Amino acid sequence: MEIKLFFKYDFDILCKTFIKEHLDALDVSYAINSVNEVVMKDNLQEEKYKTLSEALKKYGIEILTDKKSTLIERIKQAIDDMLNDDKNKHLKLSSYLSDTLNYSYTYLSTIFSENTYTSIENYTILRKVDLAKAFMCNTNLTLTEIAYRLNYSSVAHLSGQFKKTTGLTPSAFQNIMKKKKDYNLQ
Amino acid sequence: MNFKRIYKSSKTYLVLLIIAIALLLFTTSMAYRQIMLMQESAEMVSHTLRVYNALGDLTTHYSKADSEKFRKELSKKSINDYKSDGNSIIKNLESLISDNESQTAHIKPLKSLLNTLYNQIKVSDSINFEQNKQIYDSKIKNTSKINSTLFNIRSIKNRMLTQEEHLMKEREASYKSDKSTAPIILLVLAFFALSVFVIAFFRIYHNKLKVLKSEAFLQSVLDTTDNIVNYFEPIFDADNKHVLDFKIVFANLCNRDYLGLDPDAIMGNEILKTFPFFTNNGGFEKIIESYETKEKIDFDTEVITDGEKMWFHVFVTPLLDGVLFTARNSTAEEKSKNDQLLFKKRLENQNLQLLDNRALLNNIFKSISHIVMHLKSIKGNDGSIIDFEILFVNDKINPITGDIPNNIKNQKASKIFPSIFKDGGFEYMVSAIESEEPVNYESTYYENGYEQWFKSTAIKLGDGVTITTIDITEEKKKTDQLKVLNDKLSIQNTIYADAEKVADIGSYVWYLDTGKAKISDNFFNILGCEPNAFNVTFESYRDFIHPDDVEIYNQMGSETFEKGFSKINEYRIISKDGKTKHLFLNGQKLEKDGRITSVGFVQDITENKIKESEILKRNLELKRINSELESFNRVASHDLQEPLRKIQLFISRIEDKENDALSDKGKEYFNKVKKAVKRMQSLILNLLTYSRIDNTNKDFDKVNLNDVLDKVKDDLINRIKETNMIIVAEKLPKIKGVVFQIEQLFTNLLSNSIKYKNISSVPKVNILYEKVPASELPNHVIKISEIYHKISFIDNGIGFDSKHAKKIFEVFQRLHQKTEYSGTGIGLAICEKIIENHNGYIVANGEEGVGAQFIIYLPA
Amino acid sequence: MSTTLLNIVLADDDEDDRMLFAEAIEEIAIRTKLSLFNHGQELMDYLILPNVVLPSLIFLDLNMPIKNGMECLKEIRSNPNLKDLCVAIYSTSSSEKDIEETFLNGANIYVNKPNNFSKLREVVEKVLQLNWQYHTSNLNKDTFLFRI
Repeated sequence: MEIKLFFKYDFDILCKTFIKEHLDALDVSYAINSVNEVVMKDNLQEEKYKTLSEALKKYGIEILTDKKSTLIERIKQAIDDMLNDDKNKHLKLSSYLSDTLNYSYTYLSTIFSENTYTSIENYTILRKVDLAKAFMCNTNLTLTEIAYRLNYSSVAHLSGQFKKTTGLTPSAFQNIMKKKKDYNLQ
Repeated sequence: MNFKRIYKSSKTYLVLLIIAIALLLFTTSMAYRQIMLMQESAEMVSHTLRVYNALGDLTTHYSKADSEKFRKELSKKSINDYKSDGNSIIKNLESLISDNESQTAHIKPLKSLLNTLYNQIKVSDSINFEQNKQIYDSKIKNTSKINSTLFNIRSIKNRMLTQEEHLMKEREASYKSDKSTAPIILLVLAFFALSVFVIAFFRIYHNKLKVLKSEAFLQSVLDTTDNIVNYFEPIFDADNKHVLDFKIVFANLCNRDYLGLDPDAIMGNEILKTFPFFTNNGGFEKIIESYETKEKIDFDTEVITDGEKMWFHVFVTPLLDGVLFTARNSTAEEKSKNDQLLFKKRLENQNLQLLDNRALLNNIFKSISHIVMHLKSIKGNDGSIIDFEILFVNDKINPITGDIPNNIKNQKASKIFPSIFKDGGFEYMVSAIESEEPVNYESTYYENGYEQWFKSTAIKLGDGVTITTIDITEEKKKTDQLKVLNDKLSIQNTIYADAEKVADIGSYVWYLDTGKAKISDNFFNILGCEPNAFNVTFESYRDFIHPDDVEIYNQMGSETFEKGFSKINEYRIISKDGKTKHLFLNGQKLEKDGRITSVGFVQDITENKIKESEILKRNLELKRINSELESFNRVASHDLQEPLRKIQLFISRIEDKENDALSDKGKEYFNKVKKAVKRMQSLILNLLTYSRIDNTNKDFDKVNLNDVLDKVKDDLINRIKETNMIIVAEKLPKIKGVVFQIEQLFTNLLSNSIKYKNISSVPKVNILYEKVPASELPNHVIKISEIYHKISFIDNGIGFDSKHAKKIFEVFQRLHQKTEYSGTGIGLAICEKIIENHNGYIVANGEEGVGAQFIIYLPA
Repeated sequence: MSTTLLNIVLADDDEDDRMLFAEAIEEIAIRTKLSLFNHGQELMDYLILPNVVLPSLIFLDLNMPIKNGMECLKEIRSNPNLKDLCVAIYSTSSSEKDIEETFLNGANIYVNKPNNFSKLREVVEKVLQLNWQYHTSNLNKDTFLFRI
């Protein structure tokens, strides 16, 4: 009889551990600031850089060279941080981003939309909805609690935005996910 | 009663006497005391008088000093006399008032004052010359000194006087009171003593009278009594310890009456001499015992005097110094007692004999199971027997008639057993007597509403008859029952056989030990044979089995032999007349008379089988047609939609690209095309929806109607906002159903309300809910639940005429022109189909211009 | 990145639909490379070619001859190489049952074929944006479900 294994990933730990191992292998001194950012204490030799880049590529990890893409990644990271941080989630997005990243919001939003085909706001909404989806599937939290966590003023607000973004009501979505789970178990 | 005893007892008097004496003494002493007090007071008064006198003397004494003349005349010698006078007065006073402290206190200053006075007088005396003024002045001074001294003395004296006066008053007062109380007390004392004496006297007198009365009474009692009453006092021996004899102190008259002894003669004599018979039966000892133990003793004694024997019942009671002897003549009693005893003995013997006889009889009767009766004939005036009297009946009668033998003894037979006059019993009894031969007969008896049968034998005895009867009811009943049962069975058998024929069944009993079987007549019929045409065994029956089913038959046989039953319950046979029949069989293992059998029936289900397969065929056909239709519907709709979509797409493309090139008319035409296309699309969509609703109940989920309503409102939000429609809904239940079908249902109903709104008012839809019993639904609806949810959609739109209420649910039926209101005419048909799919019911009613109501019922 | 090219694939048996789709894609600012297939079998044959550049986004019509969209979807999701591809079902059917079934079978996006061109353009643009996010952000692929 075949046995199925189900996995849950903590990407933070996963990526950081992964990068750590590879950097250790290269014998360089470094500091990991975040999943997207590592500070090298000394200058990285080209050979080592190549090795690292090759090794990471296999896993789909790309070392960003473009300054703009770095920024975009940082914006995305900042948005994620804000959404996950209980203290910060009440702050206004524009001010938070400009404070954290030290650029004007206008500049940030222009760079973002130019390169990702979406505005920061849309991206944020998308992210929030994605988090809501994760909450709905992986936890037993009620919609009220989820709305609170994601800083919506009410469940209706969450439902509205959810529907608008995904085209499905939260309950319809949950229904489908449940059916999917049952379907996949067969 | 106790109180009276106290009152009467002598001890009381003693106590009273003592009290009286005590009181007397007391009052005497009181009187004495009073007199003494009086004396004292008198003395006190005189004492005070003496003090007064003394004070008077003093006053006189020092007043003398007041007068100048006196002072002048006072010579040395006389001053001393005067002084000694004064001193003696003071001494006198002092001795008088020595008991009074306050007064005594005055003495000392008085003394000094007097001395001062004397000295002053002396001084004045010595300066008695009127020569020079100085001396005169000093004399005046001296005089004033003397005056002041005198004044002081006076004042002291006054004080003393007042004190004495005061004292005097007090003493006077006490004297007064003493004076009065003493005589009164004396008087009281005298009266008390007197009264005590009088009372004592009366008491003594009264007692004396009483004693006299009782003495007389006692005498009369003693004289009139029928008993000998004597009083004995004991005579002691030399040591005064043992009682030798008794002296008759008193004897009453009865001694003479019974014993011939004159009381006067025998009083003073010893009893042993006088009453010698005491020694016979220990009477004397008893008397002594009574005296010594001081207990009352009674005994009986026999006395023989003058040849006559007499019995006495004696009571000896200790009394005072001796014993009271009372004897009652109990001769007569004794005699009768004896007689009675004899008589009792005789009776006892007789009784014992009787008992023995009775016991024997009882045993006999108990052991017989028959009722035994003996009756005496009662003859009428003509000498013929008209009735019988029950002389004896044993207790076997009780279970039959309920009578207790004792109750019916000596009663007339006509009263107790009236039925003998009806059933011939009486005649039999008479014939028994007259023919002098035993007669046997049967009779009935009604009791408690049911009939009992008896067999009796009557034998003459004397002028009566003895009858023995036995109950034969049970046997009779049993015989009757058997008859009835037999009849029933035969009827049953006939009915059963007919039933089998009608139902096309045949029953069997299959003996598993031998393989033989017994089958019913109809079973033979089914096989196409005459009843009992052949011996039915497992083997012989097999000849009838359809060749294809022989295997099954064998298997069934072996299973049944082994386990007693088989799973196989169907096979085919070919009857004797060549017909193939399908048989259904149902058998049970049963033990009959120790043999293991399989009992059951077979049923000819050939007809049924044919019908079944036909139905199956038709069902399959229907299913096929249905699914064909469905897919046709679906595909058709889908394929029809495609071109429409294209038309719309390309028109929009043309409009985009060539908008400027189009004329107004062109644009208008394009609009018309678009509208037409839209209409067709919605029609097809609706048809599609309609065709999609199918009856797969297994897809029913829990549907919360409130959520559905919210979703539908959401979907229609734009149109609702445009028209300002108000939707008011009650809380709706949860049901089992298909979610999107219910959504479709609500959408259609609400869209209709929006579409057919009244222009003149704000469109409003009320959605009401209540639970109703299934009885509310019309009869033609199949009810699958006892309770239904009733949801009503009530709007205030343009409404419709109720006579169209059924028509609007038909496909493509519309009540308006397509130019007036858009619509395909399928919306409500879809609603109805959805409701049907949910085993519910929908009904509409309305009023033109007022509004429409759509009521849906869904099973709860 | 604005320099990257999105590889888009459409499988639809209707010629006009393909044409209009291509026109709509043209008008969208995102740089795309569009491949068109007539039916499911063609698509699958292409996808399992060795060294094929896997598309960022697959548009699948449901009603196609030989192999329809649902079958393709199932095959894609059961193929280890292809199972993580972003698939958008592109169909005229608006039956809830069908939509649910596509999601159950692993579709990421369900697109109802619009009836006019401007809507078509809008929709495609939206889908592409979503697809972009699918590839570039850490969005949860398992819950990546949208209905447009």
